[in-house]
Amino acid sequence: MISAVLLASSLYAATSCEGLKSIAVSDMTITVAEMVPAGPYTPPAPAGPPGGPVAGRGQAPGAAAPAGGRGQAGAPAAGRGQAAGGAAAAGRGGRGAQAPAAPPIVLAAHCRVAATLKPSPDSEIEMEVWLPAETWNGKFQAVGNGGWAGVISYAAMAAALQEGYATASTDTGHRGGNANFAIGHAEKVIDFAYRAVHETTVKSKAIISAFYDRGPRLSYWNGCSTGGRQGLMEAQKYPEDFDAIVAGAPANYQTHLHAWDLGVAIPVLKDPASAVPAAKLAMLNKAVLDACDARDGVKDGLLNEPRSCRFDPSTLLCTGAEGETCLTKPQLESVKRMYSAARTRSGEVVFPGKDPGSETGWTVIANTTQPPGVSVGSFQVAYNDVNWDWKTFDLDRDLKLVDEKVGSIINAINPDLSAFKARGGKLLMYHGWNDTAISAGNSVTYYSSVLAKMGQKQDTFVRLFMAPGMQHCGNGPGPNQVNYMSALERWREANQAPDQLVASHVTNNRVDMTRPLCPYPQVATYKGSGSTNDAANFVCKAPGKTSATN
Amino acid sequence: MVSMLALAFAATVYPAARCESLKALSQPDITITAAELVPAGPYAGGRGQQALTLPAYCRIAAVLAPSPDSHIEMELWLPVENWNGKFQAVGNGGWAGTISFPAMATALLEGYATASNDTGHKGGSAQFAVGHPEKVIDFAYRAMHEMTVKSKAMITVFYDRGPRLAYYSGCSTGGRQGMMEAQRYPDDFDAIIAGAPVYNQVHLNVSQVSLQVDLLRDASRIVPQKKVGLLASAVLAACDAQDGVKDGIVSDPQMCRFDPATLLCKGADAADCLTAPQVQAAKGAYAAVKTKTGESVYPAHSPGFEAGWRIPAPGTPLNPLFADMPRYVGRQDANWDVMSFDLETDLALALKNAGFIEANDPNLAKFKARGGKMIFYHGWADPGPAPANTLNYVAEVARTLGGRQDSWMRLFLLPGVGHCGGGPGPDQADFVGALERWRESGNAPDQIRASHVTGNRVDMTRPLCPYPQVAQYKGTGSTNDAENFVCKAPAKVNGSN
Repeated sequence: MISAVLLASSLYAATSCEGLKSIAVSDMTITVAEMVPAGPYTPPAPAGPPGGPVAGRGQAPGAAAPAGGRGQAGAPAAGRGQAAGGAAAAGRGGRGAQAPAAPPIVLAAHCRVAATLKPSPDSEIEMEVWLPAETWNGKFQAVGNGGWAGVISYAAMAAALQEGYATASTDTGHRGGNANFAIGHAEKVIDFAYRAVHETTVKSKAIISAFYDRGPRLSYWNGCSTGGRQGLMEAQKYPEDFDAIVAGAPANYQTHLHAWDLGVAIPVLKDPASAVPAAKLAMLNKAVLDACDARDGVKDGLLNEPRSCRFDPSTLLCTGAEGETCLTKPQLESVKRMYSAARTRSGEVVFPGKDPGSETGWTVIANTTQPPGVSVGSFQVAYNDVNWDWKTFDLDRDLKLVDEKVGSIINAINPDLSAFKARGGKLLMYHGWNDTAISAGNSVTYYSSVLAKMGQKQDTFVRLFMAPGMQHCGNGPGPNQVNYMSALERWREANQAPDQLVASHVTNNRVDMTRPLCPYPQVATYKGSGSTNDAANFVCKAPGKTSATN
Repeated sequence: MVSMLALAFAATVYPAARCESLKALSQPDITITAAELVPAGPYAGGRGQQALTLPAYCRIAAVLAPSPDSHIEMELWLPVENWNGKFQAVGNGGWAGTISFPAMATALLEGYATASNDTGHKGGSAQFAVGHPEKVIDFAYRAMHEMTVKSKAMITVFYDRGPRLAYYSGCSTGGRQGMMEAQRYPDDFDAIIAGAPVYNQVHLNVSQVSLQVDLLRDASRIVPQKKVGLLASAVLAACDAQDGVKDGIVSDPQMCRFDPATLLCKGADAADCLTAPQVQAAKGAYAAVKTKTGESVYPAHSPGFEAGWRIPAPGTPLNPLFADMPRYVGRQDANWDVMSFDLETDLALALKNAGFIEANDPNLAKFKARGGKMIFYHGWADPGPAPANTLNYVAEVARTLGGRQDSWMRLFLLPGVGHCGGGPGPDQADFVGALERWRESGNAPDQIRASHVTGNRVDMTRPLCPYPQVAQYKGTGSTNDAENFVCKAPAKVNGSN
C-alpha cells in the first residue's frame, strides 16, 4: 500500500548510520558515516580539473541528472528561443507580483557514507553512498561520471536521493578531470575503465543491506557520456550489477572517439587557413537547414532525420575571393572531415562523423589553439608520456597503439548483452543528434551492433532514443529535458515499454517546446495540425513518411 | 486534402508594400499610426535574458476612438509568411495600461495574427477613471471588443480573407476580458482561455482593501513575514499528505481542514507561534469577506496560498492594484484616505460607477451555441483572485445552462500554483495547444500536461485535470513524472496497492 511507502516514516536502524563504520567489507575503508538532517542542498565545489577539456568541449561532465533538481535530465543552454504556451503566457500583469516562490532544493535526511576502495595495491577509489533515512523506495541508483571523471557526481546523487533512491557515485579512482593519473598506473586505468564502478556497486549493495537489513529490490544505473560508457560496460561485463540502465551519449568507444577528435582538430591547428570561424559555421548550419529542415514536414531548425539530409557543402565553395557566405577550399576540407567517419588508410571506419544540423557546435575546427585535452589524454596514456606531442599524431599508428594498450580495457563495445537481457535487464539509450562531443552515429552504431549480434527484434530490452537538435547529454535547440529514469522504472517495474518519451525545451525558465522522442529508428512525425511546439501533435512513426492524413 | 507541406512552406509571402498600404485604412474611429514590415530577427521585449527570434511580420499600430474621450492604443502583428490562418487576441494584467507585447510574441511564433491593446489608458493605475466614464467603459469591455473587430477587418484586407478561427488567451484581468467577450460579444471568438480571472473585479478589489484595512486598524493582527512561513509549514503538515504524495503541494485544498488556532502561542509571543490577534488575522485570510449583514462579498483563499498572503505594512500605501478601485473608481478622489474605507459604502460606490466591469453573467448560451470552447484555469495557491471564485462562476454557468457543460467548457485548477504561474506546483502548460485540439479536432482536454521549471530545468511534470477531477498518484514510480498520475474524481487516498 502506497501510503505505507510514502507516509509511514520507518526510521531505519538495522545498523545505525554511524555503526556502518564498523562493518567489515574487504578492500574498503569507511571514512565517513553520518546522519545528514533534511535541509537545503549545496553541491560541494568540484575540484578544478587541471588540464581538463581544452577549448570548452570534450566529454561533458554529464551524469544524466540535473544539478540538485527533482528529476529530468538535460540542461538547456543556447536555445531556439520560443515562448510558447506557458500557463501565464498571455495577459500576465501586475497581479503576478506576489506569487509564491519555488522552494529551494531540500534533500531528505540521509545517512551519508564515504569510503575508499582498494581492489588493487595501487587503487584509491573514493566513493559515497547516500541512504534515505526514511521513505526509502527500496531501490539503488548508481550515477555515472563525465570525461575522465575524477570527481564524485554529487548533483546526480542529490537528484536520485530526492526520488527516494539509495544512491552512489565514485570518482573512478583518481582526482581531477584529466588522464595524468593513468601515466605509469596501469591499475588505475583499470579502475577508471570498469573496476571502480563495479566495486562501488558491490560495496554499496553491502552497505545498503547492512543499513536497511535488506538489499535493494532493484538496482539502476544512470549516466551520460563517460557515464553512458560505464553503463554499457556494466551491462557487458557485470550484467548482474544492475537491473536497468540509462546510458546517454556513451563514450563507449573511447579510444576511437579520441582518435577521431584529433583527426579533425590537428589538421586545423597545423593549417590555420583551414579553420572555420563561428560565423561561417552559422552560415553552413543555415545552408543545411535551408536544404533539409523542411523535409520532415516542420520547419523548426531541427532535423528529425539528419542522416537523410543530403547536403553537399561543396555548394558553398567560394567561386571568387573569400567572403562571409562561402567556404575556402581548406575550410571545405575541414567541414568535410567533420561530417565524415574517420578511416584508417586501409579504409576501416574508426568512428562516425558529426551529423548535419550540429555545425554551430564545431568549435574544434573554429579558432582553437589546442586539440581537446580530453582526447589528447588517451594518447598520453598510450605513450605513457604526459608530454606527448599531439603534433606527431598519426591516426593509423597511434590508434593501433592506444587500442593495444588500453582499448580492450576502456572501450565498452561488446554487442553481446544476452546475459543482461536474460536476467530481465532493460537498457535505455539516448543520444542527441546535435552532439558535437560524441558523434550521435556512435550510439546508432553500437545499438545496431547489438541487433546484429542478438537478432533484430530486441526492443523488449533495449531501446535507443535519438533526440533531434539535442547536444551532448542535453542542451541545444531541440527538446532535451526528459525523465529517462522514470520511463525506465515503468519499463522495468510495470512492464510498460517506452513507446515515446516526452521531451521539453526550456528558454528563460519557460517550456517553449515539447516533442516526443521516439525509439530508433522511429521519428517524431507531425500530425499535420496544431502547434508544432506541442508533443501531443506528433506521433512516433517509421522514418521517411511525413504525415498526410488531412 | 490540405497538405501540411502546402501550409507550411508554400504559403504566400506578403510584401512590405502590402503592409504599408494598410495605413490607408484609417477611419474616423481608427487612426493607423504605423504599418511597417518588421524583418525576422531577435526580439528583446520578451521575458528573460535570452532574446526571442521572431519571424517577419507586418506591424500595425493604431489608435481607436469609439467615444470622443477614448484613446485606445492597439497593435496587430500579421505574419508575412506561414500564417496559420487564425487570429489570437491576448489579454492584459492588473489595470492594464500597456500593450501585452510578450504574449503577442508568443502568439506570433505559433503563426497567429495577434493583437493586444492598452485598454485605453497608460500605466497600471486607475487614475484614468476619475472624471472619465467613457475610459472606464473602454477598460471594462469596449477596448477589447473594438480591437477585435478592427483586427479582423485589417486581417481580411491584408490576407484577402478573414481569420478562419479567432482565439482569445488571457490571465488575471486577461481572464476577465475573455469572460467578458464570451458574455457580451459571443461572436468575437471561437475559443477562449480565461486564466485566474478577475471577473468580478469590484468585489475582489473591495474585499482586498477590506482585509488590508482590518489589519491596519489593529496592528497587533499583522502577522510578521517570518511567521507566514510558519503558517505555510503548518498547512503542509496538516494537508500535504492527504493526497497520498508528500511533495510540498496541497493538491486538493477543498479537502484541507486547517485551523490556524493550532498555532496559538501557549504563553508569550514567540517565533514559533501566533498570538491571538494574529490567529484572528490568519482565520480572516482563509475566510470569505462578508458584509455586516453576513452577505458574502468575495470567497476565501485556499490553504496553500500563504506564501503570497498580502500583509499590509503600516505607513506604506496600499497596493494600487486593489486600492485604486475604491479611490479612483468609487470615490473618484485621489486624496481619499483608505482608513476611512467602509465595506458597504465603497462596494456600492464602485459598483454604481463601474458595475459593468464585472464579467459575471453566467449565461453563455450564445457562445456555446456557436461552437465556442472555453478553458478556465486557476492556481490553487493564488493569493489574488480566489480559485473558489472561479469555481463559483463555472458552477453558475452549469446551473444557468442546465447541468454538465464539459463538452464546451472546462476548468483546470493548478495545485500549488500562484497567480497565473509561480509556486511549487507545475505551472506551465500549453493551454492554447489543448484548446486548438478541442476546437479544431474535437479532442476535448481530458488532461493537460504541466511542467514545473527551476533554473531552466523541468523538475516536475503533472497532469492538470478538469474539475472536479484531481491528479491522483498511481502508486508507483516517480511523483515528479506526469505519467505516474491519472485524472480521477476526488475520493480517498489511493490505496490500491
